[in-house]
Amino acid sequence: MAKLPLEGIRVCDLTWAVVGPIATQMFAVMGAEVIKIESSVHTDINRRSGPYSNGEAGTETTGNFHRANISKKSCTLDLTQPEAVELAKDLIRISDIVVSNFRNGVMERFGLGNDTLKALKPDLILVSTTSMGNTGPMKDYVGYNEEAYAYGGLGNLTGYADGPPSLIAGDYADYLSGTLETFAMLAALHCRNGTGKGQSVEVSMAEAAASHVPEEIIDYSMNQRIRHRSGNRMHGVAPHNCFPCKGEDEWVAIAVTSDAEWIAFRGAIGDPEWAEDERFGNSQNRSGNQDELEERIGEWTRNYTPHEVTKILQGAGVPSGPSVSIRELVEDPHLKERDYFIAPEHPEVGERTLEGMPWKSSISQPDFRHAPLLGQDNYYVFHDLLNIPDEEIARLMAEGIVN
Amino acid sequence: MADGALSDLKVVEYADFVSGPFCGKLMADLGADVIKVEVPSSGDTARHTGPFPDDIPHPERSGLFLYLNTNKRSVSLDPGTAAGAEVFRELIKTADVLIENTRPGTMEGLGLDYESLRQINPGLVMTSVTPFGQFGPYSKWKGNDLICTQMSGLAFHTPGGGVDSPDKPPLKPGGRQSEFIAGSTAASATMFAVIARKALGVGQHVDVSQHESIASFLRHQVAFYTYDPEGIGYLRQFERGARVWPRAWRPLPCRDGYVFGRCRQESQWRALMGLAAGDGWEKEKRFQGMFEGDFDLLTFLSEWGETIRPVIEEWTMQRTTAETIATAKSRNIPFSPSAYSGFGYLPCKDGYVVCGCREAYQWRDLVTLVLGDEWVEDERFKDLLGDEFDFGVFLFEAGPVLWPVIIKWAEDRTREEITVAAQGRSIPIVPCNTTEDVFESAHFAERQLLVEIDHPETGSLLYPGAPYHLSETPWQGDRPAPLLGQHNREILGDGLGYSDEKLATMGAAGVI
Repeated sequence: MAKLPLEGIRVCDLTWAVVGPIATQMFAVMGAEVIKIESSVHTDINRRSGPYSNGEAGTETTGNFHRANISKKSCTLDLTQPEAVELAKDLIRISDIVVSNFRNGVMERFGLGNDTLKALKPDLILVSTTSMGNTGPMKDYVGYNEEAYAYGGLGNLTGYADGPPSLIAGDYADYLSGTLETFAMLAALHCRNGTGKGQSVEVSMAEAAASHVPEEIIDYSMNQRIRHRSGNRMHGVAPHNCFPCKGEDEWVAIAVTSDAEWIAFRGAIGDPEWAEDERFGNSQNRSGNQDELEERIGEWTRNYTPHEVTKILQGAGVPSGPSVSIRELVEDPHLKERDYFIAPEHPEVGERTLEGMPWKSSISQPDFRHAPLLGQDNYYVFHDLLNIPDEEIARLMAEGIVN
Repeated sequence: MADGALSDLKVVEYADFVSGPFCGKLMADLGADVIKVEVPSSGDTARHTGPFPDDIPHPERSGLFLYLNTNKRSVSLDPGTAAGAEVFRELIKTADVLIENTRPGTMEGLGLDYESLRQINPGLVMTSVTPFGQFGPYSKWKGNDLICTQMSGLAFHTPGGGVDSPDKPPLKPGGRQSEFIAGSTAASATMFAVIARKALGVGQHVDVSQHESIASFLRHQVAFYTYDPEGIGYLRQFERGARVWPRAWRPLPCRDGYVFGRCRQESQWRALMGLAAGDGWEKEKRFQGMFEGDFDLLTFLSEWGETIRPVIEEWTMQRTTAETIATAKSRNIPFSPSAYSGFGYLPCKDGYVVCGCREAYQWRDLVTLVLGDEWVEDERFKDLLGDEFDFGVFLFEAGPVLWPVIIKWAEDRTREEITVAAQGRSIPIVPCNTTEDVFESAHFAERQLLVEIDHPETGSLLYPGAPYHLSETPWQGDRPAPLLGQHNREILGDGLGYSDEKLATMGAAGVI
């Protein structure tokens, strides 16, 4: 097997929950040695909530932790003790990147602030992600995913036109920010490889979210127009929505984005008379008469399953697809053929399906190993990497420094 | 200009609209020299998307295009012509990266697929961003943000009106999220390949799927499906009703809406049967054998769900939601007016705030803030906030009681008042910002989220700026997007050495 892109790169991973772990997970599967420093007293919040493979709460059996920590190593330290902090520093001295996503000020309280770490090793890349950033009047605010996308302007734009803003499924802003964070880390690493210079990388989740609604922001900038949420519809094009199908709660998405696609759509549904109406003749007219247009299309889609509609429309070159549940996603034949899902053997839960990486590289195939058991690599880290003798390690454990 | 982190990289972007161009923008804003290849005369689709100043369409004034193409240079070139393809190959010879998002098969048709291009530049990293990837049954399908998002599960599992009003369609997030996500995923995947080049000595082809990029944001939901032994645990969070739920678990219709039942234990099902079918139900022939042997929820739901569903429905349909819940409660049957409440947006005097309490202590603080200290004695929540705190159970059982009280508290306060009071106690609440609020945020202003960029056709405008801050090689997305073909002479003439005559000939032939 070809060498992975990040082989030889060591990441000291002080992240927890979702946003940081998602970024270091991408590093881990691409070959970096990612060593997660955990506390067995205050475990990663994701080790403390389900889904549990056996239905009972347990540190090692939750898919919530496994989904974000594939291929990492784990060691344990009680960072409230000075000796543990010194050990963390020893590990950082032989690392390339340090990543954290604690609230502002927590790393400093541990004695692991950026200035301290830079002094340890000047070419370190120091990465931190918070919901509001490390500066500004709201820097100490408590916030997670929802707070980040709501403050960044995305929350208010999500929802049906006639209703309140809607939450977005899952840890949306964590993933969005984690993906940008991964890119920024890679850019900093590329730069260090070329120049020998380290640096710090700071990510604000709220700002990451704002970078994903630029049209709406620039519309305000240009025209002082405040864009409102609009369900599944899209400014200027129609039809662009999800339509009811045969069966219960079955839906198909149809997105006609040009007049050429509209003509193809009309043909595909059998050129009904209503579709000839000039009120539907071009994008602008269709947008203006969307309620009626959608009503008509719904009458047609109700006769078919989502897959039948998709087959008819994609066959005619019209963007369309079923709205799927998680079960259908996991069983999707396209994703199966692309080997998208993975099931690394885990010592406690066996092979459970998880999501792999959303790209394929012709040479550098990601390496998927199970998420670590808490402290499973203590001996490797403290003995093999930090050269601490066995009896000293026993003392550290007895005193709860390695906890 | 100071060196950027990617100043040593030369990127050719033959990409249209959002996904590929966003990938190129992320690289350009960190210093990469990104040459954008656009088809002559019409250019990038985003040039025609808007928003436009005063809503007057103009290919050099589209807000979407202007944002996505900062710091790039534009060459108008048609690789669909033989001469254009030749010029394209010349550009590729010295490039580190090619970003393209044409339909799979298109590059091959032009003789510009990876196999051909690596012959002339073995170090090339070619990144293809498409709706469904380069291979697989859907690879030739047409896709865009709506289609990819609906096909990823993200929309189906977004709460929206879905949980409480199953008649509304699955909802995608605002904007064109999956296009941007595909772009940032592509940028990361590209950098892995760029870094790998050092050890491998060669580049590679990277195949990025927009569908997978957005689906990869559902790792938790997938785990809920594949880990929970009941196979239904994932319903506890934010989930939409009906289809994916075992029938007996689906929202139950009442006279004035729906209720949600979450019976898990045999005793709860027995009590519910007693209510719905009357006290003598155990003697009825059709229910014989229902609770024989060890009780297993999944087996029970699959074997008896179809039988009991109509019986329960008939009972709930004669009652209001309030009556149904009160009666169920009297027999310790867990029914709720909402699958999940006590989390999310709170309407207030001047808009909305969002509340994301996750931990027991945050709930204690929030309830104290809203109801005062005496809440501690309230039997309804006390047990739920103990050491065994379970987020899902709390929201299902306490949420419907607490949330209306919290909503009432919020409605005559401003976003500012609520946020300051909450954050003063470290409760995670912030205002839900409109785009106007983003411009007026003192926090964003101090952090310079919005950057002013001057463009010859639109003048100076504020754009969303850096999504991250690199201390030594700062983000520098402040050079305006190029006019169509603005750099033809610079790139093709000065760069590749084509003579003015040759350029004129190609111009006349529509190649550039």
